[in-house]
Amino acid sequence: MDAFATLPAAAARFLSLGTTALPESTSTDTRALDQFLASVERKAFRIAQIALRHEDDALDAVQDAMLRLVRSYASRPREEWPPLFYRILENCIRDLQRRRAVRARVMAWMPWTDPEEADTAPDPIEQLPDPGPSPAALVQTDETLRALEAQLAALPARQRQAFLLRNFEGLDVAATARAMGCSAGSVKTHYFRAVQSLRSALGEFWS
Amino acid sequence: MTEIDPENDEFARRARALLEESVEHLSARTRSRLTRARHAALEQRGPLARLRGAGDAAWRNWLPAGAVAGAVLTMLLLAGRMPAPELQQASLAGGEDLELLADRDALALAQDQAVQDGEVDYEFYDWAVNTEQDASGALGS
Repeated sequence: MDAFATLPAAAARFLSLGTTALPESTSTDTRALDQFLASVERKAFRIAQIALRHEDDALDAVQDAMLRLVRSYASRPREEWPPLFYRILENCIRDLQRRRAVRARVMAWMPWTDPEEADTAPDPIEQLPDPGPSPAALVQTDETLRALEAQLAALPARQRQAFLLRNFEGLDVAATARAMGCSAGSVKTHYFRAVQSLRSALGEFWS
Repeated sequence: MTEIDPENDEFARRARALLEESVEHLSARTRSRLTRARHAALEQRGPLARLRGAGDAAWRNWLPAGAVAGAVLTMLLLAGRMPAPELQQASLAGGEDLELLADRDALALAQDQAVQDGEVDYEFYDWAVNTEQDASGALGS
C-alpha cells in the first residue's frame, strides 16, 4: 500500500505539467509574432496583390506565408523574421503563379467551366460602407495607383521584389538581400533598374 | 551605377506614399480576412497547441512509470480475487465433474480408474451375484 500512498502526489505533479509548467518564453514569442505579423500583413497583402493581380490569391499567399513562418521559423531571432517572411511570401506568390498557369492550361481544355464562378458570392463585410477620401480625390489617386500597380506587375519579378521590399516595406539593403536570397549588390542593381523603368513609364502621372 | 536612396528620391517617395495610402484603404473584408489568417497561423502556437504539446511530453515522461504502476495494480487485483486453496480444490473438482458429464469416454475412464484405485465396484458385485444365482438355479434344476 505504500506505493499507493505516493500516487496522489505524483498525479498532482502530472496534472500540473499541463497548466503551469509551460515556458514563459513561448507566450512572449507568440505575442511578439502576433505583433510582427500584424505589422506586416497589410503591406504583404498589397505586395502579393500587385504580383498576383487577384485578391483571394493574395490572401492565400499571405496566409500561407504566415503559417510557414510560425510553423518553421518562429524560434529564429526576431530580427530575422522580416527577411524570412518576405522570402516565404515570394515563394508562395511564385507557387500560386505556377499553379495558376497550370490551372489555366487545364481550363483551356474545359471551356464549359468558369474558375471564377465559385468566388462570386458577395461577402456581407464587403458590403459595409468603408469611410475614405472623397470620390474626386479617389479617382485621381486610384488612377495613379492603378498605373503604378500595372507597371510594377509588368516589371521582372526580381526588380519588382527589390522595389517593393526596399521602398514600400522599408527593408534595408542587407535585409532585402536576405529576403531575395541574393547579394547586396544585386539588390541595388534590381532596385535601380526598377526605379528607372517605373519613372520612364509613369512620367505623365507624376507631373 | 548610382544607388537610389528611397528616402531622398522624389519618385520613390511618391510611389511609397501612394502604396501606403492604398494600405490604409483596404476593405473591411480584406482586413478581417487578414486578421483571421494571422490568428489561424498563431493558433499553431496557441494555449491549446501548447497544452497538447505539454500533455504529449508528460505522457512520454510518465509512460514507463505508468506501465510499472499498471502492472503492480493488475497483480494486486489478481491476488485480491484469487480464491483460498480449499476453494481452489473444490473449484477444480467441480470442473472435473462437468468434464465427466460432458464426455462419456471420460466417465468410463474415471470408473476404470476408480476400480484401479480400490474403490467398490457395485456393478461388478451385482453382476457376480446375478451370475451366481443364475448358475445355482441352473444346477438346482
